[in-house]
Amino acid sequence: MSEMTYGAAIRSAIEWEMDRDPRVFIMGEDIGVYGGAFGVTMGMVDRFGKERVRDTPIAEEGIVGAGIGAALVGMRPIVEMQFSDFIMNAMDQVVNQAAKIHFMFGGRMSVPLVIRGPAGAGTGAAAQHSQSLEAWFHHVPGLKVIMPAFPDDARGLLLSAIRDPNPVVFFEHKLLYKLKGEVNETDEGLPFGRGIIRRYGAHATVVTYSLMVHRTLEAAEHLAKKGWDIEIIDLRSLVPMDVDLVVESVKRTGRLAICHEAVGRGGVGGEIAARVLESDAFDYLNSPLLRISGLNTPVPYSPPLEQAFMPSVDRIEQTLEAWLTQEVTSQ
Amino acid sequence: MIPLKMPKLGSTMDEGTIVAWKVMPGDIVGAGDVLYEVTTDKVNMEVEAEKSLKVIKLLAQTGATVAVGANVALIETDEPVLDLSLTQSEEVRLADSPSPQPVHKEMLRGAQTFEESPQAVRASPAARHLARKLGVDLQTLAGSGPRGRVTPMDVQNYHRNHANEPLQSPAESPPIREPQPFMGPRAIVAHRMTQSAQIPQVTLTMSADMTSVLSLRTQWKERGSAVSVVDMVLLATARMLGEVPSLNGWVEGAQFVAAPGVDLGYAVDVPHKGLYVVTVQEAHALRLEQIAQQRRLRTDRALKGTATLQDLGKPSFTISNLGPMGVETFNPLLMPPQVGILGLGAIYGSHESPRMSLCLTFDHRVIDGAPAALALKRIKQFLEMPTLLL
Repeated sequence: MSEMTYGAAIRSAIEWEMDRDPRVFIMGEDIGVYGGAFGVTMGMVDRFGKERVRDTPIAEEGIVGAGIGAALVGMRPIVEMQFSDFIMNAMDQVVNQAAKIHFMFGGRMSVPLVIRGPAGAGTGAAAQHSQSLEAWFHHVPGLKVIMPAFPDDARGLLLSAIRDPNPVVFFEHKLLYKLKGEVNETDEGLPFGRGIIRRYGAHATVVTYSLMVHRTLEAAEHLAKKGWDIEIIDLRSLVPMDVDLVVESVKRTGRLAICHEAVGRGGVGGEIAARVLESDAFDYLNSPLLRISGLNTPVPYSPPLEQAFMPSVDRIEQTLEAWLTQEVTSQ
Repeated sequence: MIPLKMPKLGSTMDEGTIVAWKVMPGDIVGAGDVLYEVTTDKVNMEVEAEKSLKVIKLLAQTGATVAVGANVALIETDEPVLDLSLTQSEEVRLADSPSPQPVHKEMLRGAQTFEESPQAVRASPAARHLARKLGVDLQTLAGSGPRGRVTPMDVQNYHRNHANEPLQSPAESPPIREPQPFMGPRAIVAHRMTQSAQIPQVTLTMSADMTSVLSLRTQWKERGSAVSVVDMVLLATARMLGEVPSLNGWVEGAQFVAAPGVDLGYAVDVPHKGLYVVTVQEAHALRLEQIAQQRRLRTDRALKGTATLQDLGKPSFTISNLGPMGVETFNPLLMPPQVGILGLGAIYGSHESPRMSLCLTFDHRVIDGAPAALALKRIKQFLEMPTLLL
């Protein structure tokens, strides 16, 4: 075990696979000499050379398209979107090509491609560099969507993503790159579709992922001092989603809240809610559910407004407390 | 078409059980005709039509227990309807209700859709699930959750309190040890005693020398008056309550309300039916003979099943006598909302010095041990020296 940052854990996974498998390579904007906008690929070009750590023009559709082509001829490409927002330029490649090819070729071809990108707000990077767009990809059959919250999960899930025979969209949160944690640098990948209970509790289940796991955990600690006992599930992987874990938890607590940074409307929270309502956990619900999410607005540039857009520890705590007070104590 | 609701027929009535319907759907009845028989708080009553009406549909089946204000039938009438379930006055009689109010348009519109969709109930999915499992009808529950939502706890409580009401599906042939559902008075006793068990109550026991009382009884008897030991205890208790108002009244919500007079309840065991409490009204103002007469009259009617609401009354204190059964001492349970009950044991001891146990249970929220002990001692004094009653 060694302590490393979330960013270093991602680099560790990429380097591990590049050492192990000559088919693995990475491309993206400024990832070579510059080391990537967030330093994830720092020093890699010296170690693996320009052929395997390829700087590209500013052309996302081209980057993803080249990645798909390479994947189809037997390579294991990782492509980096400098900001995950920029993947919008490559949507046809992602949605109409990467996600479809395996099915349209009768299962004879597959696209083992990883698309990585930093997501989320909080860095003052304004509306086009701060979004959480996971719901778009979550909606498309043929794509897997991964959003780790801790360094060890980031490394383990990225190993699995690179080894996966199908396209995986891997969102890293900008505010997590500096987060430190214990990481076991082994060959063992973390399987997709397994959430984890980060905190056990009796009054409500909060389902969350990525940066919001940390904020929800902190809010839960504050609430614990006020007598509220919150259970927190870190989904880690949105597609496939660990619905069983959520259902099992909601059956115990009788209440479901969902917290994500992405705007609420049309968000992953709606899907989580629907899956719970479709399940036998329905019969265990005691209250209407609660969603805590980014506000329905483009992410503002003004720092105070940007903070207001994102669910903060305070907002999560207050919203949960008001909800629990209303729903639990009047019983 | 409008719903016909279960009226509030007594101050303590929360619900009534329909004993028998006297009408069928389609019947047209006139004012004063009997619609159904209902048993409430231990009396059977006939509910009459207050005006001519046509019965459209019976919503509550025979045997069903229905909350006050809940719908029992759908009717049609040309005349305005008074919603009796909302009136606060005691002992409202359907036939002579005062100035009826006009029916609101909203009410009629609401009623129109009633038949297609039974009233929606606010209940959490977990409560619905539990209600299905336990066979509890959500329509009969009052929710305690946010905005009146029925919670699993409400269902659980209701189920516990009404645990053994008649089940929906009739048993084919009841096996020998089939659990017997609580019905009628039994269900009421079960409910009241469960309420009682939640009250912090203490029983004090004191024994009294009964020589004087027994000698007095003999003297009354020789003069042809049947005055029993119980009647003398009733008199002594009534006098004591006149002096200790904090034992004579009811807890209403979070406060104690002293009763204006002493209405003494007397528990009567009616064979095959259960526990009834008849009330000697205004006992503080009665002479011994009057107390004896009232108690006998009302007890007889309870035993015959012809007790009226007045016989049952609203006691401010109750006396329970297990002496005739040979019980020497026991812990009587409060009859909420009353705050005191006196248990009488059998007369024991030698012929020369007969004694009897007096067991006073009091609501500790209202009165403390020392004053309650003084109150009990006062009864003992009255019984040992009946001249103090003069």
